[in-house]
Amino acid sequence: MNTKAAEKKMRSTKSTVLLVMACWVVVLLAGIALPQVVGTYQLQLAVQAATLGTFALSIAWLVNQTGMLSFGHAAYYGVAGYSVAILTTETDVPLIVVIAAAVLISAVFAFVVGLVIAKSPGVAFAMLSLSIGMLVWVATTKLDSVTHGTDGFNIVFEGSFLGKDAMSYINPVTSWPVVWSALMLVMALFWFVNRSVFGRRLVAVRENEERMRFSGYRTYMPRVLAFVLSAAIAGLAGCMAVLTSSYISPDNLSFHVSGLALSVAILGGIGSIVGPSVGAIIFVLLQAYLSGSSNYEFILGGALMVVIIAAPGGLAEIVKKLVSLVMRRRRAAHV
Amino acid sequence: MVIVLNGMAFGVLLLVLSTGLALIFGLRGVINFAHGAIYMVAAYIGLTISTEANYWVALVGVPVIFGLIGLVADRWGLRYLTEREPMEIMLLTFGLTFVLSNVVTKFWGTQPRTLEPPSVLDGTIEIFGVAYPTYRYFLIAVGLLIAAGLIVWLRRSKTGLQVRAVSIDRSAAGVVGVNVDRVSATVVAMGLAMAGLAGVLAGPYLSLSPNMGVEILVLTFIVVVVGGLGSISGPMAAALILGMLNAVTAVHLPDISAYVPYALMLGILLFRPKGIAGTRSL
Repeated sequence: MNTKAAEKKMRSTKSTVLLVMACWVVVLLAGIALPQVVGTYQLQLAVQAATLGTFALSIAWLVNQTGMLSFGHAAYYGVAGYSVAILTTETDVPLIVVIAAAVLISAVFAFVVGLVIAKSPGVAFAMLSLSIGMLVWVATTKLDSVTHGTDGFNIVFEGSFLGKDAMSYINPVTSWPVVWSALMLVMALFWFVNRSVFGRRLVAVRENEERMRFSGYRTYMPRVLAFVLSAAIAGLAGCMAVLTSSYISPDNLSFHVSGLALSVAILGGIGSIVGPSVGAIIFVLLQAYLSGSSNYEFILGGALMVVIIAAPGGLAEIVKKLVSLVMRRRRAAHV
Repeated sequence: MVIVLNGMAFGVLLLVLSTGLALIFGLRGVINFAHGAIYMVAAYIGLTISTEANYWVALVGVPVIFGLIGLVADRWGLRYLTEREPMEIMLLTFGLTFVLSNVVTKFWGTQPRTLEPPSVLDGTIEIFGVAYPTYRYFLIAVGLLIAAGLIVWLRRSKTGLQVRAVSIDRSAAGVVGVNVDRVSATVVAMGLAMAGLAGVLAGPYLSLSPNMGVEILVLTFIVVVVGGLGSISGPMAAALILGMLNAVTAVHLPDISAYVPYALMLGILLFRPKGIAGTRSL
């Protein structure tokens, strides 16, 4: 490549970054203004969707960037949630510290798990992640003295969080700006990680682990670290869920929770950063709309199968294809 | 004695299920996440058939039905998806899990149900002064027969040889004249038939609930990992070991018995990552 072309490419990447950042700020602000437009019930749904979207994104990012398909991510979501519950009940540390600690606990736990299971590629990883998820679920139902067993935890938050009464986060009007900003920050984080050297290296390992090893790169630790990052974000989502519902029970850790988030991520599109959230919005709306019927699992599973067969990239891919089709038509019309 | 029999009974059930899973994995490189859900549906269909007709019809009929479904699913479904990533097929079976569990709650409700064994197998048999439910003897016998039959089939018959060949190298087997598609269809049908059989066998032994699929799925995964991916006899041995451990700890260490399968899995992963008889490393 000659220097001019290289310079042009540099400029275009720079302008992409600026464009994406500008879009990001606009969307963030537009989202924060949402309570002006919609009612409390819709806002409640939005909070749910943002929490689920964050969780789904953590799973989608992991599989897209590293090829590691986790069927047990609810473990990290739940470990953080229970950490918040236990720390707020047992100590009087400020909530913000508690949440930071909970995310950290999730990350440390994931590090230990990752050391054992990140060695295994593909199929084995999927099976092992599911088993670990079930193990954590079994532990939460059995350890009555710590987790209150299947009854779950009603948490009484005290003090303030980000300038507001901590208990008031049950109200979606209070929690929405925080939850929404968290989701947007996570998206930005993943976007930058994907563009970083670390992100590129993860993709290279995913594509051909042997080649990377022979080229002198470490392949094991980056995978473990990617797993830890993903679990920490899952933990953050778990904290959001506990904060906005002030309740946690082993149901939050069950296979269904992991599976739901994974399905939502696939529906929206694993390969994109916005996709999982779109999937989450669709799911939450669908669930609200079908509240009377018990068929949503059927619809979710069916939709999942159709998407995997027909459009493995999920809705994000469908939209992308449509956009490029329209663009091509337009260009053709201009010529 | 009772502990050993209990261990055998549960181990044999795991054996029938996990062998089906391992067979399909060996051939298609895909783990069927819906295996547990299929087993659950089979148990419920078995329940309906045995209340409408009788248990023996269910015991024979359900595996046949599921075998046929497997044939059809392979011929008109999986065959077109061979070029897809194994991951996508796994997710496909995962979606199926949701659909099936919804079907079960829709038609049979969420209440736990029990399947009554036929009167011949109801009651107990006394051996060496220990009374033990007849049905569990039956379960152990059927399971071990199936296992033995399968091993003989894989080792001695021509189709068995072809199955092993395709498992080792799909394209090479095709080159030397094995009809890979037909072998695949046979194996998927066998795998599903075994899940069906396991469901009907489990009916009178465990209670039927919409969670039974997920619960046993995790155990079969552990069995397959411990036994070794890519092997059939490994998971068979692992299933019996796990069943035994389960029975022993349930009596002697009830507090930790729920964790034992996981501990076994982690131990294997740390000290022998290929599993007992695995051919490919994890």
